[in-house]
Amino acid sequence: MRFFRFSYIVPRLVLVVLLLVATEIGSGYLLQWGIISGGESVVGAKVEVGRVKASLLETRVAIRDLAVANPRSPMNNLVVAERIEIDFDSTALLRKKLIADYGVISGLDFGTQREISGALPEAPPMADDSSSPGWVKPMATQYAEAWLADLEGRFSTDVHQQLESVRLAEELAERWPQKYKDLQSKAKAIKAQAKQLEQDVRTAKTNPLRHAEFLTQVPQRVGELQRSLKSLQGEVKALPDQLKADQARIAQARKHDEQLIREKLKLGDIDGKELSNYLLGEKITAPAGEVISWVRWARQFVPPRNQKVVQAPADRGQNIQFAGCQQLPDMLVKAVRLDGSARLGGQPVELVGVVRDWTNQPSLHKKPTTLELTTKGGLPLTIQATFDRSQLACRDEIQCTASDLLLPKTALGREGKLQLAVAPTRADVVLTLHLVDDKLEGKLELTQGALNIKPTVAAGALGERLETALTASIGRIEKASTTVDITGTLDHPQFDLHSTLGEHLATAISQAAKDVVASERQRLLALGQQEMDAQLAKLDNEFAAFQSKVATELKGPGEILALLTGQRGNDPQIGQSPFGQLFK
Amino acid sequence: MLTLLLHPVRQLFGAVLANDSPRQVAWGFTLGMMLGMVPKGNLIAVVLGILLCALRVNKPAGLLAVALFSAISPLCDGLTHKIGDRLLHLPNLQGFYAWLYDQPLGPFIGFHNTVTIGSLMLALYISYPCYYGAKLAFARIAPPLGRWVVRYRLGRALAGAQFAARFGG
Repeated sequence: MRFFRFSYIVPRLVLVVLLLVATEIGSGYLLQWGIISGGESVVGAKVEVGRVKASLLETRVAIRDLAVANPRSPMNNLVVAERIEIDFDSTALLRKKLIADYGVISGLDFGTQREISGALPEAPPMADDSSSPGWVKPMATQYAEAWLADLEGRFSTDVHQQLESVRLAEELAERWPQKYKDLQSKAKAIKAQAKQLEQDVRTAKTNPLRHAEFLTQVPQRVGELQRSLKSLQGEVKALPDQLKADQARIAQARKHDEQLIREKLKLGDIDGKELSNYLLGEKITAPAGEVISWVRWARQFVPPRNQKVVQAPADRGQNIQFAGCQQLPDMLVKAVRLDGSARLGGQPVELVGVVRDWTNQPSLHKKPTTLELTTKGGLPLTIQATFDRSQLACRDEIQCTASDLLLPKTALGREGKLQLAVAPTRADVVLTLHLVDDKLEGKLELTQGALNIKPTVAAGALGERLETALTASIGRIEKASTTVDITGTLDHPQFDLHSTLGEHLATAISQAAKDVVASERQRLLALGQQEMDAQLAKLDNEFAAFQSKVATELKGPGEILALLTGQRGNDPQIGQSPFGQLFK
Repeated sequence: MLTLLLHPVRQLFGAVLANDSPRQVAWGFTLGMMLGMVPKGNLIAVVLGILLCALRVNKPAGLLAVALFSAISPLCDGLTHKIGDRLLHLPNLQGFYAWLYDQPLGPFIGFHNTVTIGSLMLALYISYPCYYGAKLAFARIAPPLGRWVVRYRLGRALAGAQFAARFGG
């Protein structure tokens, strides 16, 4: 014993004990500082920890009230945990390994609001990418909206005003009365001239010598009047032929109008797939997109690449790996129980689950990290995820299953165009995602039953009629099956949507639209025909009236001229006038 | 403050002029040599350090040796790596090494590092010559050095009054 300096050993042993006590007390504060400073440097936003209790002797860590702010939205938390407790394996710690058999993370919540901004004072503001582009191909929406706009456009323009036959009939209805008026004026003028001539002749015959010069001109004036009368009679005689020609033009225009109406109201079939995208696109793919966002978020906590175990190079010499040694990762959490709440598809849900085999060196552990989550409440979901980093390629598989899920009342499509109000319904949902590195493949299957759909159509004048027809057609749709094929990459997923609902709806909408269009076409044709018939009948009547009127008007001058030329009449003063004697 | 600054120098003199036996000085020097040779940051170095402090050996001589051999040791890394590599790849000992490494605190021992184990072996190998050499050197150097120190005021100040009294007669 004389070799040992107890005066040296004892104080130092006391010092070691004091150091251990200080470590027991101070390690919590040290760990708290480490979590905050390390977390803030990794996340880029404030990390707050209520209290940390760490015991080196018990190898146990308990963290209370952890809040990690969202760097993209500083007034919201990325994640909040009320309690985190992890028991580390003490023998593993003596082997330089941080291995926990069991842990608990409870009171988890995501996206909660903060009272104080979580932005770090020196951190540059990050762009908020929450307004990510729509998941559905924009072409689908454009197509369906264009179809509806086309449908609306066909009825918003007044086809009736474009009918040639109606326009022509109206034009004739204006032109022919004017013609009658002109001819009547001419007839009246001839009649007046004939009467004046007759009067002048009578006066001249009382004193022929005084009016000898006038009497010599009478035959010439009579001849002129006869020619005028003949010309007028010729014009009147030609009228029926002209009227027939005009009626023939109207009939020709009518044929053209029928063709025009058919063209104007010809409606193409709407594509069921595009309509599915238009109506269901955002509603169906938004939750899938949300799950993909969650996967992207979760991948930050699973090593993104297979990290080869590279022993930290020794400052001097080499560290030898002995055959037969246990190959354990530096950090391993065998099981962590999770419970908390989140919002999925806009609905609050309570989560309970387990994360197994999380490690920072997956190639050493050889087991993939798994996540099992189940929800309670109105959204009965089961999520099973596997994050495999043991191979060169990162392989992830996620399966979300929900049976007899109560889907709330929802509106499909866009307000102001075509919108379908779907009453609350039950559905089975299965979402499967396979990820190899960033390449994404997956499928979302949704089966709905007992559908109750009420359409609202805003398509101009057509809307109400189309809505009525559509209600009758859609009433027959009872169940629907929707499948979304998911491709692309994790950052840019692509969705290809197929739905029997869209196909049923497309058939129903097309049929309803065609029925309405056919009825509108019939109405327009009948209206055109009616208007044209009325105009033609009016023309015929006016012509008949004109004919009788003109015949009367032309009868008087004809008789007068016949008397003046001595062809007829018993008036001794005129018929037997001394014209013949005088001018013979 | 001045006392604090001169403490290492006084320790240096103390290593040679202390009232310890030549054996204690030699053992202190030898342990210091071993500690200086071995890379730090492992349990081997910690144990050697504790031994140096806890055993009744001349500590200043040990610290002098630590400083001296810590500077020399990296120059011998080529040799010590070869020794360690050969030793750690002995087929018959692989099972033992694996068992030892898997024991609690196994990775902290540092024996799996080629330079650590090589330099420890080299230090053990040269430990007896070092002890013997140090013992002889102390016996020869200490008396004349003591007399030389007390001859000067600065030496007395540095070495301390007790040394001056001892060698000054």
